[in-house]
Amino acid sequence: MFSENQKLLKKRPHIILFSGFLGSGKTSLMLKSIDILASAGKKCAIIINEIGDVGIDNRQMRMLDYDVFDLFGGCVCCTMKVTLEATINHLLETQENLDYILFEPSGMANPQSLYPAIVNCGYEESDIENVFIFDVTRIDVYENRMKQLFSDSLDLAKCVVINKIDRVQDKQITTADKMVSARRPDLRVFKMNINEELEPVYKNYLIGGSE
Amino acid sequence: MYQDIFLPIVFELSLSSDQRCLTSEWKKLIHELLQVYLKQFCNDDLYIIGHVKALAVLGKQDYIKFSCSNNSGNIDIQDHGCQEGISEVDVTINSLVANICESESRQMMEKACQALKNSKEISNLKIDIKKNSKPKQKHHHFHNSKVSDCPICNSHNH
Repeated sequence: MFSENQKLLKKRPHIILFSGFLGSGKTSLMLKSIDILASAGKKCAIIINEIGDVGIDNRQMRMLDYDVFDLFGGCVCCTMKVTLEATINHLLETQENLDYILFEPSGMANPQSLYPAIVNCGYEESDIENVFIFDVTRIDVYENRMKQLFSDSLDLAKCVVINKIDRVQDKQITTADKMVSARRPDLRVFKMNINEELEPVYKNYLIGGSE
Repeated sequence: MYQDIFLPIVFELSLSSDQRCLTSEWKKLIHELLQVYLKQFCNDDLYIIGHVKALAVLGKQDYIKFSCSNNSGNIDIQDHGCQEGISEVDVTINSLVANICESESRQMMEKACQALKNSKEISNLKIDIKKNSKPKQKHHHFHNSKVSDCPICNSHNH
């Protein structure tokens, strides 16, 4: 648990959680978000949880000269919960002047199950900037196979990025938009192709929204 | 649908040639290899591709990343750096596909490698599947009886 002393000692860094199903674009958005935050002079730490014995995203980030904290070999929603808590606490204790912790869980993780570990580190649930990345090419998967995961993800999200809009027709983007607004009409939605230049409104949201 | 039906399998390949080849040539070859591997899933509705991604390491900071996240078989490619003229490339492939066992996936990868071995693009190409990392355990282990069911599989598999 995050000690009372630590709570009093300093302002905690913002936590941004990049949630979304496998292949939705979490790593790409996180990398671009790091660039935006670093350009604004913010100090960031990166936590990644990948499924499988050998990571791809962590290697990629190291090759880009980022320090990455791996939560490795299991899904963070169950086996790695304790490790996540320990990693966040380690960052809070050792990294001075840290502005942001960016966390990318496995695409198989239910974001709901990550919150207790973060709350145990002294955060409120409302502190967690959960960016849900919605792969618009997989509407059918969310509608037919993962309704509960989709609902849970939306319930916790602070904003939604509808990604890969360049690969579908307008009506699919409209459908995705409606799926979001049916559950969370209040939610901020960004529609973009993460592999291209990010929308300025997202950049402003990222810097301004978590200040 | 339980998300834990996506079996994580890692392949580590070593690709080599008797000549130095351009990044673009390696990119084309690895793309083709992944296409052959993925096509075997895409042709059968039984399989669901969660995410198949690969990292080809060309140098200390140079890489090509490949990513496929649905049954269309489309592969996204990202380049970083432009290491020119290398004769050996290590490729790590992380494959998350539903409704397939490890041996079957491995056979598909071997078939893809075999199909590429006669490539005319790369001189005297050799492909070695160095390792097929087995998950030591299934990826979900939720044995703490004091807490509620695993939120992904609802302890269905325990």
